Amino acid sequence: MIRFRNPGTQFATQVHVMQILYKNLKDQDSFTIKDMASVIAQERLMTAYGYAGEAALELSNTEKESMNSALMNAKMYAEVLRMLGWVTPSGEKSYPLEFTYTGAHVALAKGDVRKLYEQCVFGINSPNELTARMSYTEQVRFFKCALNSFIDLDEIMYKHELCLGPMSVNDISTEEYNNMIARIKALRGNATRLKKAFLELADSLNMKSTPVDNCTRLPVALLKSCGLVVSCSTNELYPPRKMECLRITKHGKEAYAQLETMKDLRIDEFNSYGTDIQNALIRLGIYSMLQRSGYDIAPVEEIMSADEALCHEVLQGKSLLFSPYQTIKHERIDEAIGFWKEKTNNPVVASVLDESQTVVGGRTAVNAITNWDLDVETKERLEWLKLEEDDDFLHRVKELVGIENSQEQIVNTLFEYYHSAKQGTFYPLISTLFKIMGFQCAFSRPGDNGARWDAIIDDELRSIPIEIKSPTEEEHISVKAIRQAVENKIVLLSRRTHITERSVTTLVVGYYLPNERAEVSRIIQDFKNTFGIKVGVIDLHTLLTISISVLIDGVGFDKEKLYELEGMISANS
Amino acid sequence: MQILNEKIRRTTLKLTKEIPEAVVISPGKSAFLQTSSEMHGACLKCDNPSCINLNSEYIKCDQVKEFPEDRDTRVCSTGAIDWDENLEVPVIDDSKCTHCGLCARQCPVGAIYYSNDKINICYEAEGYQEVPYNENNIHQQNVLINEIRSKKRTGCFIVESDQIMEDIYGRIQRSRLLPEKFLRNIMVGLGCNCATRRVGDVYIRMDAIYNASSGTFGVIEVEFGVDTLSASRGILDDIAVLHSRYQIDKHSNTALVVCLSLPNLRQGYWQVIKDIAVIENIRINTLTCGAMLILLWNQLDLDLGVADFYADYDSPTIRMLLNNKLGRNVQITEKVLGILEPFK
Repeated sequence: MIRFRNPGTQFATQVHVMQILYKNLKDQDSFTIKDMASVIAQERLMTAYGYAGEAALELSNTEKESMNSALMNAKMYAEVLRMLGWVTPSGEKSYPLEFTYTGAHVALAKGDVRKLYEQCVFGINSPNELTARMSYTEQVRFFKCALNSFIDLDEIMYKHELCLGPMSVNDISTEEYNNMIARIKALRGNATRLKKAFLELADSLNMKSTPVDNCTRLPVALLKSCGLVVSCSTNELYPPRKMECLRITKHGKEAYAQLETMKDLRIDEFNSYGTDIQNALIRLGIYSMLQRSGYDIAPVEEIMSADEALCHEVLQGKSLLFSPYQTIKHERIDEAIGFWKEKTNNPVVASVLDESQTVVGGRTAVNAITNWDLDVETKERLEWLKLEEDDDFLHRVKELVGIENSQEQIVNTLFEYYHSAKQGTFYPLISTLFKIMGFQCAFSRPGDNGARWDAIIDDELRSIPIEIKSPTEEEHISVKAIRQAVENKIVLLSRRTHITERSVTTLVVGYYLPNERAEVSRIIQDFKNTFGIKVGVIDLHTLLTISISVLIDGVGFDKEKLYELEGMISANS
Repeated sequence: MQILNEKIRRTTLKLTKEIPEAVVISPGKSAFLQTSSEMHGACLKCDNPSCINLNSEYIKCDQVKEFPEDRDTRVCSTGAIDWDENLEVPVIDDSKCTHCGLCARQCPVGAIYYSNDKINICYEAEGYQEVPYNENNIHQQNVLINEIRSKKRTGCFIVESDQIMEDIYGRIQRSRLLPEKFLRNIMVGLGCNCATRRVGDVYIRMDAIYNASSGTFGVIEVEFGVDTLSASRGILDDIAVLHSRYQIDKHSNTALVVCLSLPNLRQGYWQVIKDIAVIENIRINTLTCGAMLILLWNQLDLDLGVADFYADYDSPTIRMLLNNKLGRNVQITEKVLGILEPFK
């Protein structure tokens, strides 16, 4: 199956990115992903952690390339621009890149570029010299084949049928194409049958079903951007289930009718011709794409006529469907079209991401976790532990004390045990743990919509609302939970159901600390700066560590720290 | 390398023979243009049709220069209006059209109007001359359009009713449009600059920011579903980010939540809005898409710094606020579609 990656899918954004890249980098012989990242960030076409522009670039700067969101963003755009034939590898390797002749036309277009965009979409074909190392082998001009499939499948298709159909077929074989259509027709009428076929496809590709599903996002977006299909909700295909499907438009059918009349030239056939014919086909391919896109080809009309005459045997009176920049390497195209590049020796634009330079900014907040020392003697009252849920937990700990060797092992065993806990188990657990730590804590039963918080530390003067996220809701605490904690605090201050002060923290408790620690730290800081509200974030492991320490050693922590807590904390066990 | 030129696909455009003194919009027909003769709005075949594309200056906000705004300038969120290259005029595909009337609001001569349950374009009328498409005439047309835009504009495109609202809401829900972009375009139609975050940008959480011509600035959360509590929480997050990172004081941020229907009382939204006002002294405005369209059809600007749309648990309705703005009673039955009061 063809693996369409999952880059930015908005037509307007793709064109805009191309235009700003061209404006900034056209005078360079070639450009790197880092150059692209720099331009994209400076033009506010990427963001990181809530920042745009230079700040985003600085924040996304890490040593690990796969974690660098600026580079990943640029790479994503590079992939889609390369697929559309607007940029192409400058040398033997995938990078650096250079702009193509077609790409220059997109970048410099004053009017509507949709027609040229559509031509480039139809130009996507496999295999080609630019995707030689791909893991799939299908020989297909996907978008043409997809339109044909829509027409043969009663004008409607479900996205997974694209995976099973035109993304997994050699469309140069009529027999294979017909078999594919027959197979999809046979699947229809039974959603279970479709699901089974889709899962089998994923298995055969050694992929999970979600990434296979993701491979449909780009082709669906391109089909829609060109107005070739529209979304439709129907139960026609797999009754009675209503599914979000795609329906070919009038324009889609007209476009296919035109494609069908054209000479569809693929790489193998192209390579079978002599150099003169090849060069003529390259010129015809490029100029005819521009002609169909509404460009004035008068300056090259004579060349085209001569080339058409030379390729008469190949074309047999048909128009040419062949996009050189999406099929072959640019050196061959340059030669055919008479381009040669003068080395400009233009220096590469200073990149903020240049590794030779000092890393700017950095992700300062990533390690913003405070450690709590568990060395404060406490004599906590355990008389609050009266509920059945409290007993369950204490019983479980007693059992583990006889089995496990160390407190750490007990904590780890419990932590693992609660990994699949739902709200009904998790909320009482958190309440129990706070009680063990010496706080009077009450939880809300699931379904109790009256209380905005999930639990509350009921204090005479300094009550603390607690937002709890069970691991089945979200394993890692999210920004959303932080927002809810702020709302809890405002609600508590406003409605005064429990006494508290603005300076007292509002808590978020979850299974793991947030994944996006930098962003969570910053938003906590933003809430403090703006509203004077402190948000504290604690994970289950920390709460278990403190509680087990209290239960077994009678050693706890400075309770005052909890009232003042701001940011993420971890117990220093 | 030689870059080929795009073919000019235009042959003509139109100019009015006189410059009208005023543009009077009325439902059911194209606008009446006050000139020495009886003249109606007809398509000028604009060089850059403002019924199709917004001026890119209006889809950004200078207060937050770093905001990574979406740069799609299309007026119509469903792509219903497009340029017909053969006829050289804008055309509307009614099957895609939500009947929101934004394209009508954008037309300088009021050639677009609502009649017979759809949006129509008047292509021919007395008082126009068709001229060749060339630089001189393009310039003349631009001058003419600027002149007309500076004239008085009164009247109403669509008179609101339950039936019209039900049709439009049904179309909006079926169209799968992007609520943020739809909202942005309406805000522009209401005389604001409005920037929405780029589609797919997961790092910017606020849906949009706007500023009115008086300088009123605010952040917008859009919630066309039922999760309105996430909108009020989101607004607090947005205000904090703008206050802390972009030096937009929290009290200078006239925040707005836009819903399709006002939240039901049970959802807790109204109480939280009140809590925020009590504790933080921040009044979060709430508007529905329907209420905004009524303002748009009546050619009113929105400036929440001058007249706000604040409603909370004590009075969860925006009817009186809209009446005040219109200077008349709005003709939508109580609770219909939750446009002016919550359903429940």
